[in-house]
Amino acid sequence: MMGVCFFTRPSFAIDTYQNPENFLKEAFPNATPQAKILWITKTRGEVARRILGHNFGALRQRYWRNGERTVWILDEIGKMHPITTGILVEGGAIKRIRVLIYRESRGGEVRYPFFTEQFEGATLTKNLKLDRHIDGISGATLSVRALTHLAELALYLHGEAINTP
Amino acid sequence: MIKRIVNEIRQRPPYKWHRHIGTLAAIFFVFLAVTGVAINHADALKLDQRHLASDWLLDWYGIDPETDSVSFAIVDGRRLTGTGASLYLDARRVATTDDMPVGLAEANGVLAIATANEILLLTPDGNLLERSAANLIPGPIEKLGITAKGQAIAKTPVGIFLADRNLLAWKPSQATATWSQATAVPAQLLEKIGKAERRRMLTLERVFLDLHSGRLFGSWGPYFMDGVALLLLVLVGTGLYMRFSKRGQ
Repeated sequence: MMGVCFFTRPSFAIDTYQNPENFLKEAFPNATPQAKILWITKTRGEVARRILGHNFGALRQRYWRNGERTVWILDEIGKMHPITTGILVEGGAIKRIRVLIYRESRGGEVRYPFFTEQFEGATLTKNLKLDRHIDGISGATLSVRALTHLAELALYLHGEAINTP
Repeated sequence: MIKRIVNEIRQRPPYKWHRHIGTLAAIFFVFLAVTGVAINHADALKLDQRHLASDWLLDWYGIDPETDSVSFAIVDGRRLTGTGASLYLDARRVATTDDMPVGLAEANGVLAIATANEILLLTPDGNLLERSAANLIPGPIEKLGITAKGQAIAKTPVGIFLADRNLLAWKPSQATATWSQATAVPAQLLEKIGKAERRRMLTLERVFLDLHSGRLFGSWGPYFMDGVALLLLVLVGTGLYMRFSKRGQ
């Protein structure tokens, strides 16, 4: 038998860089609006699957909206564990993206402004891709990919939320 | 005896050594090449998402069926059980969790189950409606329950928080609650989900990595693979010798 120890419970460190509540307060300095629900219909689920490369995994997504400004707190697996990311979208472009909670053992450099600032102003093309190239980080390829997909997803969901009566 | 072997080595032409060593090591080189290419493309091949359910392989790795669990009974007689890194509705796996559940609430036709770090909302048939970071409620969640009016309510070290109808927002409250209590899982169900969870613990990527390094074959495996690598160096040496020396040609 191999002398390998397997942990039955995920054994990762949870690094909280910013509390989701604080991210919301920053995005809506006057007052955080009430959360709304965007239902992940069959069509939305299929588009989300195209963006993420896997099923969305839930039937609804909460968001916060004030006029043309929406905030999305989304999770995506980097290598093994979800990266919780806050994304502020305004007028169809990303205004701010922050890694809120990071659980992977490697690749945490994606939280630094030199990386996240690349997303500011990015919009979504018809092919559901960002309108710009995002430079990668050595050793953080999967985390970079996860954040890029989340940015694309947030822009898509923003469009859906704005167009939903 | 030793003198005879040394003489034989000296006298045997290099191409013979090259041929013998090449034949001996060929199978290992193919093995290393296949596993190496697979590991290089592990993400594209989704090796980390493919789980191996072979009992003998799981036994070899020393992965035992999961027995640690926290379970809550649902009013209709079913159970939500957290074990390993998963949440099960009866014997069906419905979600991944990052911690053991601390409470359950059935409110407005939704099953809410909380861990310290997040709240998962499930439809009655077990589809994941939403998962939300518990950070939206101050402090780690300690308990989940319902009020007399059937609203979901959570307790953290900071206070008690009452959910709205859609379980979207949680507001501070003084309402009294009936807190959910974890109960023992029936042995038969625990065995079933323990085995199911066990079969999720070994990925194809792990096995390929251990095959490539030799670790799958025990503590001597890596040394054996070192030997195979040395054989490759010998082949390089004999190959170059044959290419450039008169005797080799």
